[in-house]
Amino acid sequence: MVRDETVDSRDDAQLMALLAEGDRTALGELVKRHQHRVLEIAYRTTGDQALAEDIGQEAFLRVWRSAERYQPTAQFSTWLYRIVVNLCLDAFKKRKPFAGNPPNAAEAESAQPSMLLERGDRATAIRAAVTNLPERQRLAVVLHRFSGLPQRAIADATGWTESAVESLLVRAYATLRKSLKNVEKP
Amino acid sequence: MDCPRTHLIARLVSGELPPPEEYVLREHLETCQVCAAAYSELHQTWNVLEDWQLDVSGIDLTERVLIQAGSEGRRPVQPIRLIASWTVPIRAAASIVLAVGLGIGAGHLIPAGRSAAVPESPVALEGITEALELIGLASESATGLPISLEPDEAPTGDETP
Repeated sequence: MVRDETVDSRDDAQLMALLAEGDRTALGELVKRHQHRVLEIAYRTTGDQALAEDIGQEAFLRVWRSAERYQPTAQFSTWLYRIVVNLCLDAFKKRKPFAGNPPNAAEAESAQPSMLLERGDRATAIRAAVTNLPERQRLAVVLHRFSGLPQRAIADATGWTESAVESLLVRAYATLRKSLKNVEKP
Repeated sequence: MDCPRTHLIARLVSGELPPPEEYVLREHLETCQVCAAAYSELHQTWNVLEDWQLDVSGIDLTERVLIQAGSEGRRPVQPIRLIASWTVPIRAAASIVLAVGLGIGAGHLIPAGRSAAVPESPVALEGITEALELIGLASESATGLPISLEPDEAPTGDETP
């Protein structure tokens, strides 16, 4: 996967200090640096690209609005992920069913991982299996498996306890194992 | 049948256990069938999930974020408000009533033949000063801080070089 290459040697805390002084170029640099991880979390969690982009934009605007109050006591990325997680949780409350949870029964049946496997579409099958997880389990799996955050960092980003994160992951992986039991690595 | 160490399997598969703990758990897997089975299943699921690849490199939020940030102007900084905006008309009306009342009261105290234009009563002067402060015509409040009536007057940081 292609990542943004950055030539800016200033670290995130330095950019946030500049942003607090009103330097919008620092905001642009932070967006370039972190947007793809933010988009991946939002997209994998919501299953909706347009919504993921809206969440990404709003996350960085909240960074912009909150720059003066930012205290570099934790990593910037942890703080940013917490904003993204909150936006995803807000989206869960507000929005209609995800793309992976089609509204009618016929579509729902066709979206089951096993049906999709028959079409040979592995990525879509995995996406459907993840999207069918309960919201908090889905968020935990996305942060753990796809964003590579350790359980402690997930607890920091979500505000959940570490044991809650562990419990969510155990249940989520057990569900995924059943959903994806017919999917094997080639 | 359960094993109290099964909950550590996810940390083992994701590689987040410290080396000493990882070593101990891997040794445990050799003797615990429950954990060994859990490890095998989770390891397989973990690998399958690898195939959900995303390519978001074609999306760039930079421009839209900067445009939106620009349209917001500066970050909305809450001004130090000593007087809530909705109370200003009420305070102004009360001040006028107070000022008129004090003026009438002072007029009764002025001896015949003297002008009432410059009140000499300390009570009257204090009342008028208070009234002016309340309606924002005095330069400073009793705390010595400027009274902020409009949110736009708050410093935004634009002055920073």
